[in-house]
Amino acid sequence: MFGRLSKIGAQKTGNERQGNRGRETFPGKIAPLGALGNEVRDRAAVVSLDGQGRVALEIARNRLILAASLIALAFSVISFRVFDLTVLQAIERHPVSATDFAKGDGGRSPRADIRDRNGVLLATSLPTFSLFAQPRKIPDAANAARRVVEVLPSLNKTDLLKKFRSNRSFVWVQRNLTPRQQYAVNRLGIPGLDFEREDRRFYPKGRAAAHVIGFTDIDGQGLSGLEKSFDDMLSKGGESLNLSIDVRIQHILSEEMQKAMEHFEAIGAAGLIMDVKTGEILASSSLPGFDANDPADASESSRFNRVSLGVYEMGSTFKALTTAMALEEGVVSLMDGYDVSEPIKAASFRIHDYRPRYQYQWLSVPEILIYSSNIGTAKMAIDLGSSLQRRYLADFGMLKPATTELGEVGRPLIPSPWREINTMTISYGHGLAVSPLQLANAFSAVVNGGIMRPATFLKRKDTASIQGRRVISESTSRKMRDLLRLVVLHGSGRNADVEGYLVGGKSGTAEKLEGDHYAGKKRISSFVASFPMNDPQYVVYVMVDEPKGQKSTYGYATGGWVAAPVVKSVISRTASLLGVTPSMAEELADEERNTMLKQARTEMEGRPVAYRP
Amino acid sequence: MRKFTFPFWLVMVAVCVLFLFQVSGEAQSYKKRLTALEKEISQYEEDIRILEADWSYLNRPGRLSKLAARHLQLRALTAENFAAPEQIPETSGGKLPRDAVVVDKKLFFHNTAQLQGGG
Repeated sequence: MFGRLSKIGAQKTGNERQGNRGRETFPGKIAPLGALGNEVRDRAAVVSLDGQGRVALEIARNRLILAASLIALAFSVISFRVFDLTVLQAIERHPVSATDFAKGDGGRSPRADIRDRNGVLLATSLPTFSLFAQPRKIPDAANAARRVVEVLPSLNKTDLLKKFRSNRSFVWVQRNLTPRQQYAVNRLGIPGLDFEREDRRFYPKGRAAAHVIGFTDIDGQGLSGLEKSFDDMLSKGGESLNLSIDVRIQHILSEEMQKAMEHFEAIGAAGLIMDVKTGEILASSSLPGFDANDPADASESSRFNRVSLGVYEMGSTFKALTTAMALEEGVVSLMDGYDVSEPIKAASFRIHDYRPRYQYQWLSVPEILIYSSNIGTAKMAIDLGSSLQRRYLADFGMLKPATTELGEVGRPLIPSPWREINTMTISYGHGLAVSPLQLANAFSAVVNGGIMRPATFLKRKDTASIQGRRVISESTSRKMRDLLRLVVLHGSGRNADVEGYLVGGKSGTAEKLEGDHYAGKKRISSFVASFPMNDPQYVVYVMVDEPKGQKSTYGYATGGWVAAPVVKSVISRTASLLGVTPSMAEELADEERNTMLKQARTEMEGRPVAYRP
Repeated sequence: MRKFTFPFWLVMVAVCVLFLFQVSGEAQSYKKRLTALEKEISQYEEDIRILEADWSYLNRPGRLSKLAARHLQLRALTAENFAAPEQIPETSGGKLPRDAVVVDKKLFFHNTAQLQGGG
């Protein structure tokens, strides 16, 4: 049979023309076939056809060849493709892995971690199992409800019964079970109950930096803090978010603030520590705080971030800014001064000094800051002028909400219109309300050489490329460092001094505004400091809300008595952690400043005074 | 010659088919093994995450400071514990014995002999 097919279209040889031994199947002569056809194979057998037969055969032959070549082509394509996939592409890229399906949660990466600047874990997602029911599949609802409540006693039996009896196809029973609970429920063997793996956010450090880190809802969506600000980035998973916060420094700050808050029976406190050269925030604490693992348990007041969201009239800490502005504009020099013997009468206001221990005299510019004279500062601001004051305050970031990664930033309260009386009161920190974050940021710019860098809660990897805006000159900044150091040496900052660390700063005691008048005994007592003053590296700010005078402070509850000691404790405990080496020659560094102060005082002697008793 | 071409190709086809099934079988078993391994890795990674969270929880600053107060005789570092480098004796070659302390900004250590040639 095959022998015949292979002969189709072959040429006829002479031998085969002999005889007609084959069967007649087509018209014309046919090939002689041997008994088994094998004899004929020896010769090139021939079929010669004429007419239609030949044409039909030709066509059939051509079609066969065409079909064969198409199939051959198809197979060669396939074999090339196989070669390509297995050999060539395997060299180029990673084969598609089955990892996505290997992971129990259907291929999603867990929410990214949040870590502090040293890599300490602050927030992470852990797998838990959430119990759900498919009520239609539960055979005996009452029995099921009873047995489940035995194992999960926190559930309400009637509610559970209602759920199991309902006709729904899916209902949550309890989410985020512990492994033990999951095991116990599984053992019950109730059909229609099943578990879904859900990641739950866990904050190992609990209360530390809870306002900054924030928290998520049960579905892992950020609700506050950086969990909210970076929600998109975190949900994608991957690398952790590295904060500028140092959890050790955070703990120390919170602890010291808590001690002061309790000692002075205050209603709240805020504090932060900032790197003046990079703008990184190493610690930010708002008390009372809350545990991020249990945000629902916390009151709204606990969850309120007093550092960034709360705005307050800061009081005398503002005098540092006013002095810096006046010196920068050349309105005054260190050797100038003002007559502070008489209160200023303006509109229906009387501006007087809190404790005028220097009556009947002129105070030099350094002394105005050291003794925190409202009168002197107000006069300085008048000489500076409203518009310049506004411009500098805008440059210091006081007139707009702070620009930082946290969403919870408070809007400053600004007087409108801004009259001369406002200029005066704002000069010593009343009439303009800003957040502690804003004040610390501005203070940073005053001491760091005059560059305003935005506060950031993220760790800065490349400290060289930080953009800043110049607000005051390098020389004005140096003068301010000296003045602030003198405040700590001779003024209300004495309780903040830490041996060896050249602390400089300014206290603030602001009466709180209630409605339209100032509530006498309710104050915001604060202290803003920086160290070491020969080359400032960090700013430490502490504010206590409504401290009450104690026996130990002779009934006083001012910034110098309440907040300055907290700054002192914090600096002495954290300085070595922050890598600040104590100065071996503190006295020498202060000598020059004291000399300058003496000189400035001498300049004031003999000047005519407005009021003499 | 022509007699051999057909069976030759037949055998070739058979060989290819066998080879194909062989390779496919191997690939499938590799894939199974791969999935199993990746699942194992994923499980380990999850365990590591849980352990890290636990570690971080156990290292809460509050807890550590309580433990340190209870078990260690360490005090907070102050400026008094720093001495000027000039106080290191020249003979020490820059090395100090392990029990050297700085109190009141002065360097103290017990055994001067330890300073020579080791520490």
